Amino acid sequence: MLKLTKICKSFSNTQVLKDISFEIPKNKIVGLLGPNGAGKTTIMRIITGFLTANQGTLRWKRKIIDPRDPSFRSLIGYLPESNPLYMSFTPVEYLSFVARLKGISKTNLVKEVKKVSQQTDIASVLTKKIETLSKGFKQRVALSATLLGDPQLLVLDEATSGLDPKQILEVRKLIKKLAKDKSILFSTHILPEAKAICDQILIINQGRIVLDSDIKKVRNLEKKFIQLTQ
Amino acid sequence: MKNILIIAKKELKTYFTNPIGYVFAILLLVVSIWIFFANFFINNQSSLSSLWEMVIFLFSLFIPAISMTSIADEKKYGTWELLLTLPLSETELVLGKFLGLLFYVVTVLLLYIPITITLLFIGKPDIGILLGGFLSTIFLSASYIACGVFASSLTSQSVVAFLISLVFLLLNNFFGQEFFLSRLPLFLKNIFSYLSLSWHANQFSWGIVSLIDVVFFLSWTIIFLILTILSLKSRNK
Repeated sequence: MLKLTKICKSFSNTQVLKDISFEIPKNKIVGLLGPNGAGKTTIMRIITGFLTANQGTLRWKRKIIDPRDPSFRSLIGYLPESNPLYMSFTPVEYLSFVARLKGISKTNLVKEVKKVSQQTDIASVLTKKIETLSKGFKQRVALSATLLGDPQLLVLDEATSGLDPKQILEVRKLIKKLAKDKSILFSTHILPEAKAICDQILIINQGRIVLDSDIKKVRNLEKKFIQLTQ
Repeated sequence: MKNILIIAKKELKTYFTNPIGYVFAILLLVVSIWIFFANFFINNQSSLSSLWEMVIFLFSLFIPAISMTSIADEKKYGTWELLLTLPLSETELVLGKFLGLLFYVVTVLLLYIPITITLLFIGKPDIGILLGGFLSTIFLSASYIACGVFASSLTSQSVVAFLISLVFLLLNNFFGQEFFLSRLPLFLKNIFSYLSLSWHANQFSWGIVSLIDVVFFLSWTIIFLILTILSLKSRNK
């Protein structure tokens, strides 16, 4: 569905991504694993158009695309690692604001906000100030914004970081459910999490993909990860 | 255009739902009106020129204070990453921020209308000078806001953004003051006065509306908005 070919990225004179090539198939969850500073967030930022690659191409359904193109951006739902939210807003205000920017018409706005809030189970807190919500609810509000407009590809950067074990299980369950009709690129530090929800695994180290495999074919992921990222 | 208005509306809402928006507006009004009326009856003139001169000076403090968070906070809390991965361009984001701030400042300026009406009752002010004063303050605000938004785009620390635009605007204001200009040789005086926003605004507030001043304000605003857009795009380097 989305194919990256020979993507390179440098900041000043430091090359942070070297010839990154992989594919995110339709309705699959691709796990992006790697140590801190390996380049996971940079890959996600290039896919979502926040950063531009110095070299390489991105293909969406076999066509070369520019991720900065608004028509492509409306197909993507992105949850950055920092979990960005406007704390003085209520979830319903925040979701309406993001929905309007995603081009959702005023007539469909209420329906769309209701749909995503039911998906992420935040209906009970829709009118409370975001700053008063627990970390788990904040994460779900951010995830709801990602789902607005029914995007075909979800890019989730550390979507479960900082959540308690119960919340982690809930978010994993939700991501699994969403993968029934969406492609998902999911970055994580937690190896059991990758094993639990991903169909395909990518390990990145020092800006290079060092493993791209079906999760079922990887035996002893922990050992492999340590070997490849040393 | 739709996205610009969505951002502008969100900005405007932030100022009107936040106590800081009201505190700044009330402080500006109280200080400027208090100083204006302190000399109003002594001067015995039905003119708002001295009020606009005061407002022009106070705006070089007030506008850096209200614009400092505009982009710096988006960077600090990571929301700019969300915004710039939505179908929204840097240009739309910057113009939305700028318009939201301008609407807020114009709303604050509308609070001076009761003083204007009072003046119309107690004297016979020159309407041209009254309108010129309002107009100059709006043009000046647009230029100051563009500068403040640019400073805010340079950092994720709003206090740093405040200091950058404050120092820049105070210096610019200083360059337009007669006590400074009178000490300079003629050719330097012409250069400094031409580059000073307050000098151009004072021409307006005395009722002299010239195309050169309008073009100067518009150019200044456009240049700083372009610099802000470039500053946001420089995240790739």
